Amino acid sequence: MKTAHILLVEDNPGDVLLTIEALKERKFIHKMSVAKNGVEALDFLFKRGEFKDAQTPDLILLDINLPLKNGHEVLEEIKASDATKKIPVIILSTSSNKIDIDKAYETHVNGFVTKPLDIGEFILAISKIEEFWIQLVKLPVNE
Amino acid sequence: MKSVYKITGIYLTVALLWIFISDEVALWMFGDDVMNLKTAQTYKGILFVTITALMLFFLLRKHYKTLNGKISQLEDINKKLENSNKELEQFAYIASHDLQEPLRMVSSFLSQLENKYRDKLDQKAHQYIYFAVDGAHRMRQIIMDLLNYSRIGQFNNSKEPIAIEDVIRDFCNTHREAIEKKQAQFVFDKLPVINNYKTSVTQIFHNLLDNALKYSKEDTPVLISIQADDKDTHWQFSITDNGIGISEKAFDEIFVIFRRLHDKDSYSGTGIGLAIVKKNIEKLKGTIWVESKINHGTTFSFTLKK
Repeated sequence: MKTAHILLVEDNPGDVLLTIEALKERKFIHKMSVAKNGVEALDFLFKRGEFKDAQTPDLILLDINLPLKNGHEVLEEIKASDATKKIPVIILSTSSNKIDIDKAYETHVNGFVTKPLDIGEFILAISKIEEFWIQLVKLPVNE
Repeated sequence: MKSVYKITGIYLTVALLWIFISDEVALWMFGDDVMNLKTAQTYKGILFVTITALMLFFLLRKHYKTLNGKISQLEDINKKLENSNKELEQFAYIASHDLQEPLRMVSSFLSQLENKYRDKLDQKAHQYIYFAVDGAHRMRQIIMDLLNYSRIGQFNNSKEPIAIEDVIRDFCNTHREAIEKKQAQFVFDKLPVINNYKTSVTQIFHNLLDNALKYSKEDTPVLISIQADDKDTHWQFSITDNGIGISEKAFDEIFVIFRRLHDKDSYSGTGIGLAIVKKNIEKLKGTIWVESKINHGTTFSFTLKK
């Protein structure tokens, strides 16, 4: 089974813990990096400041409602740069708003998942993302 | 309106009296002197026109003052309404996201606590968690219901042709399990294709059908009949069931949001279905009414403009 490096961009520590626990349910040990806001996520991806030694992640799980820079802005910058546009980005948000969804796909998001409110369904959603994006899909190779 | 008749009446009386009396006075004063009589008539006319013009001026001025006052009052009210609409939209957003987020944390971590510490917790602890999770779930449902209720009548899409038979078929597809369990049958003749807002019409029919299916008598196969009458300017629809019925005293109560006639254990739901139906119908300028007999069944009838 494959393992991957996932960047989780999420400001709510509760959600971070839930996502990590949900991934653990699948019994795969992935490398997980967490960014608490949009600016930190971009610093991490573009290896700026304290993140100059950061490794490029294989997959990005991105929330929309983030402090400093929201998910849409982060996505736009990721997809605008040659260094990062290959990395699959999955938006993981409580929003099921049509405007949010359309906007995300217009900015070339790779998938939009509405966080299920029920914990069982949330764990299921995370494990399906893991199964598809890490086990099934061939990801681009990071140099 | 009364004062308009009064003012016109007084004006007519005074004006007519003035004509006759002043003519008589002029005749008495100048007799056969035609030239003087003519001059007197001219001055009389000028005086009359001036006085009536002054009266007209003051009347119109007063009228426009009150009118302008009313207009600015209406503008104020309009502005307030717009603001409260905006506030409502904002509330809807807060309800959908900001309220649900912390609630999701509460129920998720309670569930995790229950799942991961199952063996370490005693019976009582499990019961506490059960009630806490149940409360969080119900609150979440209420928040979502409120959100949906507040969104009724926004009409983001335009009107489109809707085949009522399709609306019913959709309902049957999504409720297959309950329909099979209750051996429910749907009876209808040819139903029309109407031009209306799809979200609203679907909500109306699905909620009424849901109620007809839900409030059924035990051990009796459910029979739901749907009827449509063409009333020229509007359609009149009726949905009749053979369920437990509603007492006449409760006819008004059932349309009130979150009002429930039964306890949660007998029939699930937050009590929003009929409130959603009524608000949708009213937004479409129709009416809804109910006829029912306890233990015999209920008929909900409503109108939709063509």
